Amino acid sequence: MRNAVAIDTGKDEEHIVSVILHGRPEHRTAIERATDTALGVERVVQDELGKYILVISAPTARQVMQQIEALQAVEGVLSATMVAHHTEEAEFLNQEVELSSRLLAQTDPDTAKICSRSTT
Amino acid sequence: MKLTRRDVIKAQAAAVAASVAGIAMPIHATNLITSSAENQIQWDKAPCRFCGTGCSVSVGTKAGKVVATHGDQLSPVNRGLNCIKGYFLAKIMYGRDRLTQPLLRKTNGVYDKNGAFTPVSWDEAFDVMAEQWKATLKAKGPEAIGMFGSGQWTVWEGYAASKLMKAGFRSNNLEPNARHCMASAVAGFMRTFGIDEPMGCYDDFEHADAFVLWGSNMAEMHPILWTRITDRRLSQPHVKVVVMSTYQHRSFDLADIPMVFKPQTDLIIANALANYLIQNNKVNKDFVAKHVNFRKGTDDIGYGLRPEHPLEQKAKNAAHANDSEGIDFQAYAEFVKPYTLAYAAQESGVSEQALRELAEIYADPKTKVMSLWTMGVNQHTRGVWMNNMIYNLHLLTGKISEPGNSPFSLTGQPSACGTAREVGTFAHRLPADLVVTNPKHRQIAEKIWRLPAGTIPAKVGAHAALQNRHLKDGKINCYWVQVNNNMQAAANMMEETYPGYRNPENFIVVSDAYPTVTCEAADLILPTAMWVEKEGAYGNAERRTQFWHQLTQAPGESRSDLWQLMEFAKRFTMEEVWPAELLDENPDYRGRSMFDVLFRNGNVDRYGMDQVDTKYANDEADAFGFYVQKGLFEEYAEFGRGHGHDLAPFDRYHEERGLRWPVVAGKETQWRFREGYDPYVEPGRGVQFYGKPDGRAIIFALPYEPPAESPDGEYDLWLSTGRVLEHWHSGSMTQRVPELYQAVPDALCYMHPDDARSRGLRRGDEITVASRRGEIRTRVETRGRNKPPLGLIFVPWFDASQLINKCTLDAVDPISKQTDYKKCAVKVAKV
Repeated sequence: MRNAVAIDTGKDEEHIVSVILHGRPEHRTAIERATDTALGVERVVQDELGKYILVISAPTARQVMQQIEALQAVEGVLSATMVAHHTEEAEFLNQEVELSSRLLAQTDPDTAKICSRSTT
Repeated sequence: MKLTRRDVIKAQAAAVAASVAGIAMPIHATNLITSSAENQIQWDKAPCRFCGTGCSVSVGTKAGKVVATHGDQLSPVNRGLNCIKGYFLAKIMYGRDRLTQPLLRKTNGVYDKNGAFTPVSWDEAFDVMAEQWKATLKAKGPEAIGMFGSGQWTVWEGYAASKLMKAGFRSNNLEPNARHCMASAVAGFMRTFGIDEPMGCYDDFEHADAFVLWGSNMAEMHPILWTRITDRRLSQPHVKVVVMSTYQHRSFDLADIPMVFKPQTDLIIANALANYLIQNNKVNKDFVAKHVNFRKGTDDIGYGLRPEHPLEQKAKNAAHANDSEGIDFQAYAEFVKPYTLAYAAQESGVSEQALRELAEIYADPKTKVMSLWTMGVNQHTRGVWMNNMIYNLHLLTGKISEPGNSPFSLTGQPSACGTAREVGTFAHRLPADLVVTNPKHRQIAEKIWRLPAGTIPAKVGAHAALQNRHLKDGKINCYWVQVNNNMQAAANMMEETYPGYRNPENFIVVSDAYPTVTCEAADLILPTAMWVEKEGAYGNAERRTQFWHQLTQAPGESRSDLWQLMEFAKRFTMEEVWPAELLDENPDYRGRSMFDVLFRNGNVDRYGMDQVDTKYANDEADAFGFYVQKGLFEEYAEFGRGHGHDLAPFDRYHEERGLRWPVVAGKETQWRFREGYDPYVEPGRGVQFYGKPDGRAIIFALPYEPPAESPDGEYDLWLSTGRVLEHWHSGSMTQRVPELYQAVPDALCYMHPDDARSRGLRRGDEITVASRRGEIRTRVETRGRNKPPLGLIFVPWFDASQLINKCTLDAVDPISKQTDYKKCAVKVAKV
């Protein structure tokens, strides 16, 4: 019995991850070049102190990891910390959703409350 | 507006992160809306089951499976952040090789130590196990029974194990693997303050002006706490970060004062800093006069090796390692006088200028200092001394027990504090800092447990390293390992660990969720439920107790460690476990099962099924017919309430993101020993170290002593071992998560490029790393995250195919019995 390693079998999985990237402000140009050219990485918003909110999506979690590792290696990046992680079948994620007044319905209620406060 | 679920989930993920970071989201991103009918996910809180930080995670379950996690915004610890290990929490339960049924070594249908692992029922597993236990108890008595648990046990699992071993089987041979990581911290606290665990809390991060890492790679090992230090450092330009280590690692990226010192010379540096404070008149004399005593510790205390080892034969005071004698300030000042900055610089290899800058951080009364440490200090043959010596600096300057001034011992496991330490699953301990050697303490435990006087044995049991030696020597014959991988984790594996597990006289049981190398060496494997597959409680490094509910079902026949401990107790009558004299004096206990005596005692079974929250499953309550977790917790809490270890009522913890004990009159305590923060400090005292009878903490005079083994002509390199961020400890869970495994697939030997060159080695070459005790094959890495100085290599220990503990030495701190995994001598050769 070896200390065996299981293999990712979810063939149609898709992974969505949000990340707070903290970089030294003086390295802003290089950091933004890196985030904007990385595959599957969206730069959603940033502040003046060098914090960025990124969303990474990829067909495998391994690719998510590789993107984060690559970003961590960019000069001036102090940390790239994950916040939310969602994994589900791509087919399910492709479905259109109905509109309603419920914001952030898939977030837990406490967080949704805070998020609505901070985003409105 | 057409939207897919993907758009919505992305927007939500971004919104959560923005909210955590305190950044406003752009308007277009907030317009995403979705139907509540889409919400099929049930969200609950649970503390992360990895390191000792104690982050709270929001766990999303759907159709009985965890599908999503995010950092819990309401948690004061991680404030919505989630590190790479926590991020993949959902996946640790779904590894393909998860154990789902008991496996017994059998040949021709019967148990055979050399047989093949064969699936058996729980009944058969426990029948065979009980038979072995009973035969051993009869032949050799309780000292031949042992158990090795963990700081990953939930609070009630550790507590049930403690009762089972110390009161049921009457053996103190109970240890947690926290012995490998926290024992020096515990002994340090007990010697200096008389009470365990940090006086400060994580709120110190936002108040400190300087952070001194004495032996901790927080950037990788405690990344969430590291983000708090990073935030503080970058938002407040005056803040300084000092990083000390025997090799350069990721935490050095933020260091204003980086220091790579020669192994073991941290003892010299600490004394040199104390001497600097005294010589430069920077001692807070008023604080010292009111709140401190001075003592000189015994020296020449050996290395906790087998008594016949030459180093132990040579040591004068190995048997009295924990002794000390009272001295005064003057004597202490004289004692540290030879430790000048120049001497420290010469011995440690750190520049005198850097040492002076560090000394000034402690010396300046206006600079609030947080000292932080983990394994660099604790896994040290003088680890207790190092803990004492860091406290010396804070006590000399009065920089303690107030916001920002905080000597802070970090922990490595999620409940090293809550379970291993507070519950007292060590060989010498009982709950709430009580010890087995004190007759009054035993009396208190026997009263709370409703047991006759004389039940708990007074003799300290075998500590972790000694348990392995006793297994090898055939002194412990029945051994149960739960929730840890000690074959891989213990030092000097080939000489001292493996032989005991395979000793034909012994029967080894391992409860685990995955087939680790420890399972492989066992005779019986029991499949275990993990994390949110059971209701649990952990206590983190800042005294915060946190609860979670059972959210999913364990696969197959897996059962929680708690169920296993309690169910196994049903197999014994009191006549089979207690001596006739004890039963003669207490005939009421005759004819009863051990389960009844320990768990149907009127305390543990006090809360009925009506108290269980119907929203959640509770497999243990269903199995035993009462609210097991609540009963165990409330009985356990009796030990500490009114004695400085107060816990809140059980139900409140399900509502809170944890509370820091002591919780008095419903309020948690952030800073202990300081009036105004800690309700236990008597009015007018200002500061009171109430763990000591006179309320004074102790400054210890302790010398430099050399390590147990240093490089020489043949074995010419230092070996340091440790973890990497993506893998947690032995990797038995994280290696099941493919993306973690792929990030760092195999352990490497990190080496200075010049050391590689001088041995004719290139990056990627296959090599052997050999000590006097064993060798492994690995590959050279001369770049990357860990940068050792000349003369030192670093090999992480998560990789079961490269067991670096074949090389390490089982030298321990003679006071704490904690192994030094950071220093031994090895040589490297090309394969």
